[in-house]
Amino acid sequence: MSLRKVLVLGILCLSAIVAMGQSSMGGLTSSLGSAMGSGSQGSSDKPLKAKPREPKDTICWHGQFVGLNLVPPAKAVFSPNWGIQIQYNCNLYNRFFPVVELGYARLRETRDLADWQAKQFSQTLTTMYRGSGFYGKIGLDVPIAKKGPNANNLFFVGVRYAGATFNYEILTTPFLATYWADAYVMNIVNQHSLAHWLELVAGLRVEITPSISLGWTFTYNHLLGRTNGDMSVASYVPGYGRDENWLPTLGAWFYWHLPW
Amino acid sequence: MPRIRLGGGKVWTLLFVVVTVVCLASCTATGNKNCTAKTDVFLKADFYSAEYSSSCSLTLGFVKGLGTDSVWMKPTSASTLSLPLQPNDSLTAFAMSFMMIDSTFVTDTVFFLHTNQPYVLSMECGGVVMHDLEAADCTKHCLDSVTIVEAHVDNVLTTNIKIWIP
Repeated sequence: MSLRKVLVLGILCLSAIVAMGQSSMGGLTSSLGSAMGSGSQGSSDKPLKAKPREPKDTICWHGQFVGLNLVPPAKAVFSPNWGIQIQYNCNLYNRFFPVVELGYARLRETRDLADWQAKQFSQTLTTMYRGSGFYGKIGLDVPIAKKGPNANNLFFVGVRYAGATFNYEILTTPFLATYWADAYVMNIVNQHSLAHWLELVAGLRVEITPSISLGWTFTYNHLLGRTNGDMSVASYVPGYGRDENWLPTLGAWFYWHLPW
Repeated sequence: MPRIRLGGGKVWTLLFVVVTVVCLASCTATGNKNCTAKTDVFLKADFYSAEYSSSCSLTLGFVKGLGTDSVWMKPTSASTLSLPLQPNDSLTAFAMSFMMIDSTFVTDTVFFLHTNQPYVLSMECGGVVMHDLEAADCTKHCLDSVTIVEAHVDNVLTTNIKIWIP
């Protein structure tokens, strides 16, 4: 199953659950929590009453979180790739969650030559990509649904602007035979590149204990621009992923609620 | 041992579990890209009539790189040529024979002075050698002159030179 299909399936599941919550509890956003508490709003026996609008929160500071994305370090278990991504976000008026993220990623990938390339060489060759670099993101999340006095449980969407600076090398790169020369391989080293991109985020954060929360994020990345190396195009961008215009990624987050 | 309780109620718990399952399922979805870029790098030469200042077609006997034994192009009628430049040398020369009005063949040589730049298109496609033309000239038995239109020669086929016929 392709990643895109899985994402669509996931969105459909989420929609179904949210719709289920809406129909059985008579509202989604602010009414979700109170509806679960009373348990009577969704009853078909009683006439629906217009719920009073929740007054806007006048308290600015509702706390702050430091988050760690568990996916980049977990990659080290399954592959030679790994990274670290740390997030800081704070809760303003229970409606705005400014976000800053910093990260580092190391990428290693090997690829056997395709048949149309391999037939020009007498031995089996493997191209290797090695790169690493830092990235940063800044953005804002807003809640779609929330529960608790400090938006302890949260379903949110957000946007991020991100940038990365990184170095890479591509070893055993095949250069195929031409009219003038036989096929040969070359190591392309000391390549430097910059990239910036936009992220659309949908996520979920659930409080486990008063100081710890867990969450998931679906991110759709759109590459805005990138400088190429002197002799190559970077195959991967740290914090972004493969060199594609639109790319979905997943995050699994561990959040620590700072006590001040 | 304290009992950990999801603080958000059943809907939130269910939402978290479903999203977790979807995320784990999607971890198995991987893609494998193939090369979609063009990996040939050719200089494109168009024949132009100096008299009419318009594109023209010629009958070629052969096109052969100087210093090689193999023929690049066999007899054909063409208004455009795609020529490979030397990846490891800054001078490339092609001998071209043209059919004249009296059906005899006359050979001219076209020279290109260029720089070479190895470039990796992607992991999937590998590398190509791109070029930048610095000068172009020809002998004038049948041909009139050569002008550079676009000095950069890469894997996108655009007209790089015009070969003028008297």
